[in-house]
This record gives sequence, C-alpha cells and structure tokens, in this order.
Amino acid sequence: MRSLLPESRKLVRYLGKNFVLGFTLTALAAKEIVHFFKPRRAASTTEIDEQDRTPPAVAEFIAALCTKRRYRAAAIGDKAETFTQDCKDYGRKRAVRMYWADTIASVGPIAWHVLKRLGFVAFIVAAAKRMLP
Amino acid sequence: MESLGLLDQLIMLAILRQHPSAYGVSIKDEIEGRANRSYSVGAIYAALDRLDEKGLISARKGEPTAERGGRRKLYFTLTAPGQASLQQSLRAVDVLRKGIRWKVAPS
Repeated sequence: MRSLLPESRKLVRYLGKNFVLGFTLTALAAKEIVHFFKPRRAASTTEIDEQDRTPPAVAEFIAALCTKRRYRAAAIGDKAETFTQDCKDYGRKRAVRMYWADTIASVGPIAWHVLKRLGFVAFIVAAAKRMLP
Repeated sequence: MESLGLLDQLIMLAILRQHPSAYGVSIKDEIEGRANRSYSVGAIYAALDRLDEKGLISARKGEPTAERGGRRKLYFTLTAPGQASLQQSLRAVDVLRKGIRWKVAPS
C-alpha cells in the first residue's frame, strides 16, 4: 500500500499538469457512472415516456414487409406488446436489440414459406435434377 | 390426416392450454415457459398460417389495446379436424415411445 501511494500521487500530479488527459479521463468515468445507473432508471415504469414505447421504425417496417397481410396487424401488434414489456423489464436499449433480433429471426421462416409457396424450391430441385447426370 | 411438425404440435397444444384467449404473444410465452423453446414471432405466425390453411385452426379478431399501438389481437382456436389431427399425431409418438428402454435418464 505504501509503495502504491507515491505512484498514485505521481499520477494525480501528472494529470494535474496534463489538463486535457485529466479532463478526458474524468469525462469517461462520469459517462460510465451515468451508463451504470441508466438501465435502472429506464426499468422504472413511471419514467418510460411515449417516445420510449415506440418500436424501432426500420425493424417494424421489415417485420411488416415479411408478414402476410392477413396477419400483419396482429403480428406487429404482438411485437409492439412484447417491446413495451421488454422496455419495462430491461430498458429501451436492450428492448430495441431484442426487437431487432426477433425481426431478423422472423425473416428466415417467412421467406422460406413464401419461396415454397412460389414453387421456388421445386424449381431449384427440378433444375438440380436436370443438371445431374 | 395432416402431418404435423414439432412446432405445429407445440402451437396447437399451447392454443388448447390458453383456450379461449390464445394469441401470438401468449402462445409464444406458453411454449417458452413450458417447453423451454424460443421461437420468433415470424416463425409462430408462419406456422399459424400453415395450420389455418389446412383448416386445423380458426382465428377471430379481438380488441385493440394501447400497448399494441392500437392494433387488434387475433385469437386462435383449434377446429374439430385440428383436434383430431393433433391427437392422432401425438398418439403416433406415444405408440413409438412405448416400450423403449432408455439408457439415459430424462433431464
């Protein structure tokens, strides 16, 4: 401990002389502290404003594009409901990530379903059969 | 009789358990909670569409809510052919499972 004290004093003196470095490190530390307390604030239901409850527009658009018209409103509504709950439970930042993850995972099965309906898979299989000797 | 995949079976069982208020989110939560399997909303709706086209389930519109952005829920129920198809599918698995001596204990 004694051996560390002169070193820390040296560091403080050094940072005092180098104002820019000291200021940057202090700002970074402050940012980390704010970031640490941010999810707890967002998890409170009372502090989530209307803006926070809006799902990411681009992800919502992609999800809507990939869903059949018959189920579009219901599927987007389900995702919005899950998003609102995730905002309350985990905070907006994580909820947005989860919304995007679900959207990306949704594209695969729906695209496969559409391709099968279009007969695309049958076309590929037929073409492969023709190419084989 | 229609052949059913695992996801089809899980969805149909979840609909039966949630009857009469089974909709997308509740079906997804039921499967996650009981079967410990996670599916995306898109995968759930793709399967629901497939089952609907086969006439195994039917859908009715529900009430719109603010947390859903004013969009209506779609409630799903199993039709009589759906119940028959699910029972037959599960029975086939039970028949195959019966009498097997497992070397590994179920987790």
